[in-house]
Amino acid sequence: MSILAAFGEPQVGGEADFSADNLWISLIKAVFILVFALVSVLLALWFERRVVARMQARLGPNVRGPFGLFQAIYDALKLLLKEDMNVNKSTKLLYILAPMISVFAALMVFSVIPMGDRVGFPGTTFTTPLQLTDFPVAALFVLAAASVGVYGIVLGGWASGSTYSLLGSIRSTAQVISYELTMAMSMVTVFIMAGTMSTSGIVSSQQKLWFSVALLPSFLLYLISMIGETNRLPFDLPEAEGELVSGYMTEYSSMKFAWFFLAEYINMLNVSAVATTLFLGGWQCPWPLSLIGGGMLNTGWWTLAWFLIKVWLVMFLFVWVRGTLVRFRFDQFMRLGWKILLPLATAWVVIISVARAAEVFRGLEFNPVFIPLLSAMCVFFVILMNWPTKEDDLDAEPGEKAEAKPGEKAEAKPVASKDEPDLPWERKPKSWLGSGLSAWAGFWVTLRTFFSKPVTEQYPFEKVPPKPRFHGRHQLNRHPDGLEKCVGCELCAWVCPADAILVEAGENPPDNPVSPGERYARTYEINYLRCVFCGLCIEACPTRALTMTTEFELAGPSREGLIFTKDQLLVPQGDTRSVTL
Amino acid sequence: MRILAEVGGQAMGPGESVLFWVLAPLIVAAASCLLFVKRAVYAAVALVGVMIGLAFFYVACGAPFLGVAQVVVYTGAIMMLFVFVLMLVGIDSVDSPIEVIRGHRVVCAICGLGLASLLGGVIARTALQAPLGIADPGPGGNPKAVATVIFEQFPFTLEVVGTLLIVAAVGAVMLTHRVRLRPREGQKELSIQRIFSGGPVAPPPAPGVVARHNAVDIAAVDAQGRAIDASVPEVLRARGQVRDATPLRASPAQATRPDPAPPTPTGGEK
Amino acid sequence: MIPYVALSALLFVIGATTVLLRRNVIIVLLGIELMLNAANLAFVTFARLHGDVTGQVIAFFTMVVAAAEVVVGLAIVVAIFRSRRSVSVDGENAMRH
Repeated sequence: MSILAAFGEPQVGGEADFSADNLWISLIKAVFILVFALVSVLLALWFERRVVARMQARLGPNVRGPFGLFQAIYDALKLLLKEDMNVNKSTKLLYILAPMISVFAALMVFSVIPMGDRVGFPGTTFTTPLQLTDFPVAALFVLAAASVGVYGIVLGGWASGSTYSLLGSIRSTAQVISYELTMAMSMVTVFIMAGTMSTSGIVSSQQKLWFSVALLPSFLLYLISMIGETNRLPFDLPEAEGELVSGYMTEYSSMKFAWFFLAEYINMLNVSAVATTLFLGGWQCPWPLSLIGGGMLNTGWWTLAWFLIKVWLVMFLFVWVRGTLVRFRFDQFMRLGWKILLPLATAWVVIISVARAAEVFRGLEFNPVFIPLLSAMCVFFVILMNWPTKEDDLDAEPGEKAEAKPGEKAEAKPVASKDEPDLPWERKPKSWLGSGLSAWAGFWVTLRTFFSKPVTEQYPFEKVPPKPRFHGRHQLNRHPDGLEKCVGCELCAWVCPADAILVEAGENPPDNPVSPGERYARTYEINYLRCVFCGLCIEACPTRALTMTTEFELAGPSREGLIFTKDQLLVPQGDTRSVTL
Repeated sequence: MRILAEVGGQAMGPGESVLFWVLAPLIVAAASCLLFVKRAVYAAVALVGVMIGLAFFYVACGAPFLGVAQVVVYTGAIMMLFVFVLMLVGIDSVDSPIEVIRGHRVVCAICGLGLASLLGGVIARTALQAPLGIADPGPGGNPKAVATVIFEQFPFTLEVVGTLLIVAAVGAVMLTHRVRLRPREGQKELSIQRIFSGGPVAPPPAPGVVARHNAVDIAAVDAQGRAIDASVPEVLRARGQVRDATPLRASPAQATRPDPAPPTPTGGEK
Repeated sequence: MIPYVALSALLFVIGATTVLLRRNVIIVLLGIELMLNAANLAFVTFARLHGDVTGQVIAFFTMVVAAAEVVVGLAIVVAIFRSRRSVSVDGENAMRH
C-alpha cells in the first residue's frame, strides 16, 4: 500500500465542486464570511479575556451581559466614540489607508477556507460547499494575503510620523516576514504530501490521517510560526507597552485603531483556520466519532460544527500560550526564527521531498505508516538533542558558557538537605526528565489554574472592609487639645519616593499657635496621582502627625481634585476617631 | 475554478475587457507616480499597486500560479525589502528639485518619447495571430503544468537560478557586513562605561509637585529652595517650555489668606 | 492581445524614463523593477497567445532573477549610504573637496 492511500487520493475528485454557484450565491457567501469574521472577532475578544483571566485565577469581564459576553460590543462602541486624532506630522493618505490594508488583506484569507462539506438547505434541492471559492493555488493565495497585510503595519508605522511607531513597525514587519518563511516551509510539506495546493483538496487528502500526526514537525513548526506571524505573546515585543508604547499602533486612536485591532484578531482566526485546514483535517469529524451512524457526523452541517470546534481549539492554544509564556526579546525571537526554525523547516522539506520523490518517481511503495513514523522520529530526535542536562544553566544566554576560572575546580553546588527547605528560586529539577520538562511546566500550571476556582473578590457589589493595616488615604492628626501635631518638619516630603508631598512650613504666630513648638505646616498637600501608598511618610513622621486611614476609594474626575490640600487631610476639630496605622 | 477555466482563453471576453480597461489606467497612473512623486516611499507604494494590478492580469491571462507568486514574491518580499532599505537609508529622502545637469529633464522626456514611439511603432505594425489561449491544465491545475515544463525542459536553469539566489544572499551579507574594529559592547560594558564616566549615574530627579498642576514642566526644588534644572525633561528645556511655578504654588486665596487662627483649647479631651 | 502588449510597452517606457530621469538611486531601482514587470507581462501575454506555458516559466525565472538583482542592488545602496550618507546618483558628494 502506498503512502498515497494513507492520505486519501489527492486532487482527483478531492476538490470542491462549485458548478452550482452563481454570482448571487457567491455574494451571499461573501457576506456570510464578513459577518462570521466580525462575530468571531467579538467572540475572540471575550474568549481571550475570560480564558486568560481564569488562567490567572480571576474572573475576567463579567459585568456587561451574561458572563460578560457583551464586553466586546462595549469595547467596540468605546473605540467608535473616542476622539479621532490625526497626527499633524503624519502623511494623511497612507495614515488612513494603512489600517484598511491590514483589514482587507486579513479578510481575504477566509474566502478560500473550507468551512464545511456540501450542505443542503431545507426546502430546496440546492447544495453548495461551505467555501467561497477554491482554485489550484488557494493555499498560496493565503500566503499572498498575509504578505500584503504586512504593508498595513509598515506603512502605518511610517505614516504616523513618530519615532516609536517607526521602530515598532520595523520590528513588527521584520518579525512577521521572518516567521512567514517558516510558515510557508511547513505548508510546503503539506502540499507535497497532499499533492495539491487547493484547500479543499488538502482537506479531502486527510481522510485517513491528519497531517498534524503524519507531519508532526510541520505542525509544530507551523504552530510556533503562526504565533510569530500574528505578533502574539511570546513574540509580541513590537506591541509591548513598556518598550514601544504600542508600536506601530501608537498614533492611532478610535476607529483607525479599531481597524488594526480587528486586523490582528482576524489574523489570529485566519492562521487558526489555516492550521485547521492544513493540519487538523479541516471540517472532517475526528476518528472515533466518524464511525457513528456510518459517517453521519461527517456530512452536511455537522462539518461546520467540527470546523468551528477545531478553530476554537487552536485559538485556545493561542490564549494558553499567551497566559503562560514570557515575552521574548527581539533578538531572541529573530534568532529563533532564522537560526533554529528555518533550518529545521528546510531540512524537513528536504526529507519529505526525498521520501515522496522516491515513491512517486521510483515507484517504491512505502508502508503508509512510514511518513508518520519518520515524523515522530525526527521530532523525538530533535527534542533529545536539545534536552538540557542537570548541569546546564537554563538562564544563560545561548552561546554563553559558564566560565571556569583556570586552576579552580567547579564547586559542588549546595544540595538541599531534608532539614533545610530550599527557596523557590533555588529549586533545580532533580531528575533528567524533569530538567527538560521544567521549561514547559508553566503550561500545566496555567491549565490547572484554568479549571480551578478563581479567587477574585466581588467588589463593588460586596464591599469587604479592609484590615486596619490597609494603606489608604492619609490624615493629619491633632493633639487632644486641638493643636495640630504636624510641625512642618518636611521629613515626609523628603522621604517620599514618588515626590507626592508638598510641605511649606510657617512660623507659629506667638499668640495663636497652630502647633506646639515654633513651626507648623502652612501648606500641606499630597498629590494622590503620584502617591504609591508605600507608608514611608508615616514611618518618617516624628510626631505621628501623619497616619493612614483605610479609605481607598479616591477616584475623581479631575487632576486638580486629586491633589488633597491640608483642609482635606486634617482631621476636624474635636475628632475623636481612633488613629489607624 | 469554474471562472478560471474560462479565462486565459481565446480573445478577451467581455468580463476580461472590463477588468482590463478598469485596471490598466490605474496601473499606468500608479506607474507614472514613479516619475513624478518626490518621496521614495510613495514611489515604492505606487509600485506595490502596480504589481498587485499586474497579478490580476496574470490570473486573467491563465497564469494563476504566476499571479499568486507575483504577490508573494514580488510584493511580499522584494518590495518589502525596498521599503526596509528606505527605512534604513532615509525614509524622507527626496530628490532635490534643482537639476544638476542642465536640460536633464528635457532630454529624458525626449528619450522617453523616442522609446515610446519606437515600441509603439513596432506594436502598431505587428499583426498578432489569433490567441490560442492556455489549454485547460487538467487535474493539478496550472502549477502542475508550470512545474512539468520547469523540471522537464529547464532543470539546469532552475539550478542556476537557485545558485544565483544563494550567491545574491551571500553577496548582500558581505556587502553590508561591518567589520568590527572593537569588541561588541553589550549591556554590561555600556553600564560600566556609564558609571565610570563621572557623570550622574542615578536617574535625574523627578519634576516638581505643586498644588494646581501635575505635568512635568515644573522644576523640582532642592533643599536650598533653588530650582533643579535637570528635573525637567530635556526636550522641554530645549524648547523653552519650562513653566514658572510661582503662580501655581498655592491658590491665590491661599497665598493671601492669613495664617489660620489657632484652635481654642478645648481642654482635657482624649 | 494587443492591449496587453501595449500596456507592457507603456510600462516599460515609464520604467526606462524613471531610470533616466530620477536621481534618487532607490527610485532608479524601482524603475528597473517596473521594466522587469513589464517584460513579465509581455511574456505571460505571449504565453497565452501561443498557448504555451513556457512563457509563464520564463516569467517565473525573470521574477527570481529580479529578486536576486534587487537584493544585491539594495545591499550596494546600503553600503554606499553608510559612507556617503546620501542616496543621490549625482556624484557631487564624492567630488566635493
